[in-house]
Amino acid sequence: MSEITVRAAQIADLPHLTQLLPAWALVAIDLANSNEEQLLVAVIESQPLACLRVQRRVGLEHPRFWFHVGCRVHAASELAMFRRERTLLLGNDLTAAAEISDFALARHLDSEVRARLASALVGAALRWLQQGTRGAGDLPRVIAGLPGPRSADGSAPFWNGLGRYFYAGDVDEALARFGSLWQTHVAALLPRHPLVVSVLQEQTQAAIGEIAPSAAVWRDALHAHGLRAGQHIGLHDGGPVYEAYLECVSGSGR
Amino acid sequence: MTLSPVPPARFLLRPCHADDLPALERFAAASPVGITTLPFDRAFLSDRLQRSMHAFATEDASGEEIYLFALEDLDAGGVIGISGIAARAGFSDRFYSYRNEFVVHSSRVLGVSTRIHTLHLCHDLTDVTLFISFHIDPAYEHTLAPQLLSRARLLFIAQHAERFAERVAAESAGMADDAGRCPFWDAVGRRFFGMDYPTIEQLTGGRSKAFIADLMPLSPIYVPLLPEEAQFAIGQLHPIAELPFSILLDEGFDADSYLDIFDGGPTVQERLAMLKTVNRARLLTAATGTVTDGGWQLVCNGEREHFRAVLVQASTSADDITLDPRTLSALGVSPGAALRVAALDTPEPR
Repeated sequence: MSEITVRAAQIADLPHLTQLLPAWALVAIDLANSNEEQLLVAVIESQPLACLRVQRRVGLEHPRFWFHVGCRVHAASELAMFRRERTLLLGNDLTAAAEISDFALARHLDSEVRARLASALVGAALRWLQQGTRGAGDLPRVIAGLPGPRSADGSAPFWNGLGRYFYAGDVDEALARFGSLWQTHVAALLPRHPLVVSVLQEQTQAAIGEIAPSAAVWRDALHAHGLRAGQHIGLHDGGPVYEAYLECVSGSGR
Repeated sequence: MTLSPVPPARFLLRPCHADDLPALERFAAASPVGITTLPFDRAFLSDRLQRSMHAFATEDASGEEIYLFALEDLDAGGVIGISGIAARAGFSDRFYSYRNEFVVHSSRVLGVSTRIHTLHLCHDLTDVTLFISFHIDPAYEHTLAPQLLSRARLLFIAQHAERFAERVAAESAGMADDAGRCPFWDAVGRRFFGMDYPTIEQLTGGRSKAFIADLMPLSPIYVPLLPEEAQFAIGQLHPIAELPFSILLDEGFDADSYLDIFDGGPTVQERLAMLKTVNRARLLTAATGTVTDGGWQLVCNGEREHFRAVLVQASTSADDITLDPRTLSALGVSPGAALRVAALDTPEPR
């Protein structure tokens, strides 16, 4: 079984990284690998085959937004009615949390290797976070947003039933232009009041908190290290944000 | 050339009395789903009549009163329409509406500014005076009878202003098909209640809707997120509501601000003093004589329990209105009585 090495990405890895990550993601990443963030690569036989980004705290330079998935109960004994309604509320709840993001894996690998690479990277990221110094105002949590489902045409059903009514522009173009910061900008256009989920189209509702099949390997790795889906989802595709208290996660997996 | 006299008033509006129960039942039975103020329920209708008679009779108005009027065809005989006034909407409870609002979201970085239509659940119209229960026999829809049936209520309010609010509102039935399927309800209310529109109408018919509305989400509804069919239904009328709605629009009611929370039909509202009939109303002295010419006038006496109103061609001066003896008799007044008179815009004579 080939040995996996996880290390910080280097400039020399760029030709491989461009195969793994979109150009806009690479622009945003600091390959100098500061104490605040790192791009970690998992290497087999000198080949970087997977990567992820890890940051000690997010949303302190530019506000970051998520939808909080909440619950409201509508009850009336007179009508024999008791209904739980899911709600979405735009907010910055996870500001100052540590974050693992930009998950990427080479496509040609078999599932067993993919799982090992993902687990090795998540474990390394958590160890790096646990070893570093965090500020007094930091959220004592680590979060990891996973991509949500996509339609055959590549669009996100969640966005199609919600976000596009508030921003009709091309999301891919916005990503290419602004990188992950586009979500900060688009949040200014999204509803500020709680949204009752049941009013949304069924496909939109169904996408809330679901992951793209390709992200299952990362979900399993996060789960094995102690992270669980919380109550937040991404603005674009409705993918779940996995989270855990940093002191509770395992850098070695379970 | 000798001018022939104009005919006496054909239609008479008066307070409902106990004998009008069969007429109320007839109109209730003919009401499509979505007309909630008159459910087809004899006990309920009888109670409504009693409440109305008490309202007209009592000297001690609290704001809880409901006034029901009957419209008679004096030529053919019989009641051909009814209409009503609730002195205070949502009395002792809240009166819910959706308020249309537009919010602008903008992102300078993305170069985008969007104007979003939202519906806000509100109590703005609580305690305003509410027009209710407009029903006209279809055979009379194209006569002047509906004008009298609707507008004379404003003369009554002006005559007894101390019993009413300074603002008047009226709900209009929204879009629903013959089976009671209502696109707005299906997209909004049904999601919360899991019940169809006829069922919820039965639950709320004739009673405060507040207990239902209390269960609805307080956060605004973003209209672009609703199905297109529901968006289209916002502010649209059920065909049965077109005639009374057109009269209210002509009076000067604002139809753009509020919606019914159940079917999305427009809820019009305006300050009483801004409405055409109220603005035009003058107190004139009744005179009798042969009337050969004159514009159409809404005319009412100054009574409450014995309120009477007609629509008649009559000649007026600065102080007097000349009416034929039969019309004076229908109004229950003698020459010299004070009458409240408001000119009606050039309707086609019928």
